[in-house]
Amino acid sequence: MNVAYLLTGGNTGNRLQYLNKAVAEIKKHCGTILSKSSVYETAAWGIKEQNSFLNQALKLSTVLFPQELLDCLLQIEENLGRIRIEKYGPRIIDIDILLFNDDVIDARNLKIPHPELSNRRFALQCLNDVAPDIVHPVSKKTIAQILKECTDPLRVDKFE
Amino acid sequence: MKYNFITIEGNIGAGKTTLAHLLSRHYNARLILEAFADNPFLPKFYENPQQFAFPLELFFMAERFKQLKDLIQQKDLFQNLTISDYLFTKCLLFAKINLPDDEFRLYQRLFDIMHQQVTQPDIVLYLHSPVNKLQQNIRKRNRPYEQKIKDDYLFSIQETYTHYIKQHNIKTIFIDASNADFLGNENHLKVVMDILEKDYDHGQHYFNLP
Repeated sequence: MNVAYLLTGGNTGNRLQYLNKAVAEIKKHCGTILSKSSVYETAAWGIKEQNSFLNQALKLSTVLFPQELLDCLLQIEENLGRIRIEKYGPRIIDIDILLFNDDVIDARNLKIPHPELSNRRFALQCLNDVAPDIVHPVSKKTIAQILKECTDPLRVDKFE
Repeated sequence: MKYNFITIEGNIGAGKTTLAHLLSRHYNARLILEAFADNPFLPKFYENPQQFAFPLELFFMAERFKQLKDLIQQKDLFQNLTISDYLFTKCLLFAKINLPDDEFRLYQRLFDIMHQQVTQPDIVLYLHSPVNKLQQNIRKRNRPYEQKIKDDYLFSIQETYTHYIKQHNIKTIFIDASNADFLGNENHLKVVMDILEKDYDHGQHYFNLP
């Protein structure tokens, strides 16, 4: 059995509802969700019309291989996106694979660990809820340590 | 967006990393940040510069080289945008300030070998800020080992940077960042985004923030 850490996120529509729908779809199609982080909000900044983002990390137990998991998640993104928004509209939910076991994958369409994980406070903050002691397979630091050293200036607060 | 690889440079405390984060979030760009926290010689260096300057600079050069070299190996990333908060040349500029002449010449030999192998940015955004403002920012972010940095040191970094950029005719946008608040003032960020929509000749170009 594989263990993957995922990050869901969105900033359009009923954001919380979409995060919950993503959880339900992932349970149905990808495996068993072992734990969930709190939902965190990254405040809007810079461009006026941008809503703030909600994010949540999920710990997933799955029999799928990384590429299969990616395909499955893309399908879920697309399905959820079609509920409200026209075919070529913006996706209303993003689902990223942050970590997959201790694997390091550098394929064209799939990079694991997620290359921006260490740079983004919202991703680290969520992941830190469910896996503070997990060691990043490239930098060999724990998630808690990476979060402590993160220079991302965008504030991340607990939602709810 | 006209560029594939943008580097943000500037003195210590000028706001490079903050701006790099914000731009990378906006453009969904790959972000390459200096891993200063990993240099075990940095706190020692600020306590005892003479003794620890060489290992400090050598460590930085090795780390920066590795980061930028990895970037070339992942070529497909260049279909998108990459933003870094330092130039590889930063190694040489700081070494020049911190090392005695003979050590610097040795350092430069190593630098020259490595420099040819790293990718150079399409454009450099240089954040310029007066020394008293830099000191303010340094106090505010409160990294313990930075609190004893002297004005003279910041002056010489500034001199060395501007001298280098002028001498090498790098495509550089100087931004007067003395009152910069990229996080709090959305117009400041907007100015930078507008700058990045245009093409420029080689050499220096100057912009102010509203």
